Amino acid sequence: MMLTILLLLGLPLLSTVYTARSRSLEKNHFATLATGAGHLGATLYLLLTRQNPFPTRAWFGLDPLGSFFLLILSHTFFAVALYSPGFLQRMKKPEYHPSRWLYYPALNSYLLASTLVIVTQHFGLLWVVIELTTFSLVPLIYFYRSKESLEAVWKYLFLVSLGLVFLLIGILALDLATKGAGEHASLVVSDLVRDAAKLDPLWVKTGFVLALVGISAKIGLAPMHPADIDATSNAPGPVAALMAGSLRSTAMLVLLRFYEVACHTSVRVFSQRLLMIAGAFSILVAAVYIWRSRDYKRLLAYSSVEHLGIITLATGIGGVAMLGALLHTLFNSFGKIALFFMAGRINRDADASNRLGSRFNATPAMERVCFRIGIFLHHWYAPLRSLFQ
Amino acid sequence: MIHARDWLVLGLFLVLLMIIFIGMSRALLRMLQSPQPVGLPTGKPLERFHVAHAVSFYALVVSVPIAILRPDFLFGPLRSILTEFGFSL
Repeated sequence: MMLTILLLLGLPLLSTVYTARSRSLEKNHFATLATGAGHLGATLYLLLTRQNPFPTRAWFGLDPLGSFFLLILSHTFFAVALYSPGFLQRMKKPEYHPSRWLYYPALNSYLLASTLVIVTQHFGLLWVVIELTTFSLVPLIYFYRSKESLEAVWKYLFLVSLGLVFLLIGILALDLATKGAGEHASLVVSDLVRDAAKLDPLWVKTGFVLALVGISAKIGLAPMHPADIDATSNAPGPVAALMAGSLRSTAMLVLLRFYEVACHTSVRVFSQRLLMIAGAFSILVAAVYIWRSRDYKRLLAYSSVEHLGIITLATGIGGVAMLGALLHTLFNSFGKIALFFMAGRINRDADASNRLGSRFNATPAMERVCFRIGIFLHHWYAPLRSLFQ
Repeated sequence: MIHARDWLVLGLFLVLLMIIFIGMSRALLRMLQSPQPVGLPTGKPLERFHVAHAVSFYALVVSVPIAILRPDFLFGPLRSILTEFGFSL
């Protein structure tokens, strides 16, 4: 069990330090790929054996929910690690030089921070590690070092940090809810579920509302979505794939942790209705913006708003719909990796410009076919498949 | 049993999905029809197999057998999650 903890947390830490000190991009690539493979191997092992490698009732733990989201993170990271050398080979302009050296350390620190978010069971610590994921993404979003990416990164930092303030107040409200639960009460998820009957419903309700508003900026739910849209559309293809494929899912997990507590209290119906409203509003906003958008990366970013809206709506409905929501989280991750990789390939001569025009005609047929099939499967087939699951 | 009100919600949901799908299709069609800008090379680049193709195909194709076969290593934890949330299938 110690080995799996080392593969999940130790290896990304070691790889972050190594890639930050190394002066060879090739060695950094192999270190990152090996880290991704080790992480994916440990994740699959834990999923198959259904084991929790951490001591029970600790601040860290891996429940079925965590195992499932770890698979999404691990799989996305490994795909991005495979894709990265080809992308960095194309980015040879002198202004990209500092970004090339920051790329692998930031990627590895993102894996470490996201793994910590998934395995952390204590709400207070969860807030700290989710802030780490934001900071690790900053150099990746600012890769092109253009005015647009600088604006996007500041907007992302500001709005997500503002959202995390709401999340912190939500956690404080949850702490206030535990006052009647006795001296053994804590902010660990399993303890809160155990003491659910003794929690103050008003504070649980307040905590859930604030957590939903706060984490919406990170998930990309309307109306807190603009920062996420700008960041995704200005980031390079593999980073956008990482954000759409795993970051939003990891943020969704944080919301699900609050929802898990709320589901065991009398505010269950209230939290379900709130999730349904947030999900439906996000789908509506995405439909309007997708109709108006001319920039294909923004189009894909709004598509993430739509899909996360579908996932939130189905989570709110509960029961079989929640099974569909979880499945759709996985399929959305698969689809977004494919589409953002293809988008990056189509745009490979344009660097930071996302307006395609005839560039699409100059793109090899295989990539055009992939992109079109991907758009069809992802935007029509996948939501319906999850809906009727 | 599905009530009339549920069908209405489902219908609205499908209309929204249709708007999104048509919106994405419009953008793709516009990409295909826009004229060649001056100064850009007209020749198509050499088509070579890239890891992005493999990853993209894999990502799109793997989701279909998962949905059809419902492997236990994946659906087992999913059912456990629903139980943890207090939902029963």
